[in-house]
Amino acid sequence: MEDHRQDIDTDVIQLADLPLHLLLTMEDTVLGHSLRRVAEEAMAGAGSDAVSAFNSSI
Amino acid sequence: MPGPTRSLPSTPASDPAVRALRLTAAQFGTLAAGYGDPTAVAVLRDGQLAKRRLLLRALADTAGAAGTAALDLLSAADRRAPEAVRTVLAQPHLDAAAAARLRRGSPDDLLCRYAAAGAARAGLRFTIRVPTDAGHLHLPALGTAVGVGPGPATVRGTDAGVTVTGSTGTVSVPAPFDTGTPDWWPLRRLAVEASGQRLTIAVDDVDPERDCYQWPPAGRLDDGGLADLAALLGDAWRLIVADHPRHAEAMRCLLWSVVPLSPAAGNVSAASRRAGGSIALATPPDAAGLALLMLHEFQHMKLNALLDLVDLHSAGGPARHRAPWRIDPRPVGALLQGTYAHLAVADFWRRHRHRAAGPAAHLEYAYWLAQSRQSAATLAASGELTGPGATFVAGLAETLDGWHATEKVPSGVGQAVADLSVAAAVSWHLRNLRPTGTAVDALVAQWVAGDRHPDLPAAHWGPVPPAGPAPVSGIESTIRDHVLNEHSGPPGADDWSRRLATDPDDVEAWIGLAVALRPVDPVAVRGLTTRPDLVRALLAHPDTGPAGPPGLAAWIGAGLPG
Repeated sequence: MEDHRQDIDTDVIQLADLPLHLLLTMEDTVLGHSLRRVAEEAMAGAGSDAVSAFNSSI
Repeated sequence: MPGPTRSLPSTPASDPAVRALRLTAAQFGTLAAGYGDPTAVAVLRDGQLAKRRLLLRALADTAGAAGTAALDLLSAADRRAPEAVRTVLAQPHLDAAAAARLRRGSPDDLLCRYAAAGAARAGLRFTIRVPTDAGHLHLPALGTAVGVGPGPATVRGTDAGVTVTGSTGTVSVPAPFDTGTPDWWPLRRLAVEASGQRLTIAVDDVDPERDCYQWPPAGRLDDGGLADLAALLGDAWRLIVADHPRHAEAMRCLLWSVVPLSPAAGNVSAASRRAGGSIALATPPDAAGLALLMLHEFQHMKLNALLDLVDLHSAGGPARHRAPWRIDPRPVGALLQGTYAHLAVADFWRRHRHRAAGPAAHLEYAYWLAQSRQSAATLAASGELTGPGATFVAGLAETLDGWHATEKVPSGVGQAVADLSVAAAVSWHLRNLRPTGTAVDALVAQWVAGDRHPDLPAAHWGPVPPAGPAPVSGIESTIRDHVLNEHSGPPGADDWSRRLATDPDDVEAWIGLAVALRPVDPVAVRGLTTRPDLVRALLAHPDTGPAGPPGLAAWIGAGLPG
């Protein structure tokens, strides 16, 4: 198993401040893997919608 | 019904103006250590906002005419007041709602609802038809127009506010939409402050999409219920700021709302991968309990947000791992979630034990620390972690090991935790492993032949126990009473062996035997904590002769790596 102590370019692109009209008119190829990852994960169904639960002991 | 029709590209983003969110090694390290510095948490927050925008974009591909018009309105609002739309799209339950619409391919109702909310918050002049939910119309980040009637409602907005006209009623709401009336239930926010650290959090008891947790949400809190929650939150926040300043700082950045759960759920809380920024909880009886729930769920929230950015483990692995807080075997992802969350549970007790009288808080600290360390070791050995995942687990293990090395507990507590850890391991393995008859016959043959170091069969899984928390055995209760209340401890090994002679399936007796042997026979205890299923099968077999349970356990232990 490789060790991994380097910067990580994540699978999601920086869109938090992108104007919405630009996002909606972008080509899929620009959004690339990010859009695919988010859409596929959402389409995967309830099985991927992990819910945690906790019963406190106090 | 429209649905997603095109396959999405697998190539990375190619426009140089669009760049991936980056986590530096240092930022990743602070998250792995259990906390997350402000810059790391800001990346998580941006990731959640980006995820929701991408979901919106994915929904656009399946939108009908009404949904397309709604997106035009939302875009206009974004041009006029981007911060207003950013706030609307930051609603935690947009994620769950969007995913549900993507699956069924009909997003227009959701797009209309969010467009109306964004346009209202931006102060646009607009008119849009929006489907209602049970006769009410919810506008995300704003509130709910109550009793406007079934069927679509018309929302008209100006910079002065909105008017919602439904099939049976009209509700007018002046901007900024935060004054409650019998017809308008605003999304209420609580602000608490301690040592200059201010937390503002929405109490989401209005969004119909909030029903995405394991337990049902509570209805709208009345004024008394809200005041009670506000007072408790204020006290809990003071505890968190005082004892856990790093968690407090991260919460201020990432925690957006709390969803009250039905009181019938008990003292419980939840977080969802599809509702980043929100925690759900049944209001606990005291501030310490609330602080503990918040810390636990906030860990899940951070880890969920990180997993939206980086794969830390392989997907789809079998549920084969022991999580000490569960009776059923868990997949690696669930074990990682639980371990990260229980790091915060141990952290809570690590500090809280200095506020609480008596040994109980010390016991909680030492117990959850021990279980979390065990789970971190299981994760590290799983072979299912990615490179970043291995680094992440090493980081959290380093934090846990550091506490273990430097934060001491009373000696009686340490002994009790050692006993409790043995008890939990025996219980879990006996309830999950069932050797095959062939494997038992082969093992008995080795026993009869006098092999000193048996060649043990691989674990074979029995029926999976019902999912749920690990049961607390009578032995475990006795151990706790012994250290907390100075009651007498559990019986000795001979008593348990006699019980097992009459009933080899007596789980409680196997647990008791292992606890009794812990100070005197580590090899037998290794056998009982790792493969008690084999010891039990040997004892029940007619050809193993008069060897008692301790002898059989020691023989199995001799076949295990020390």
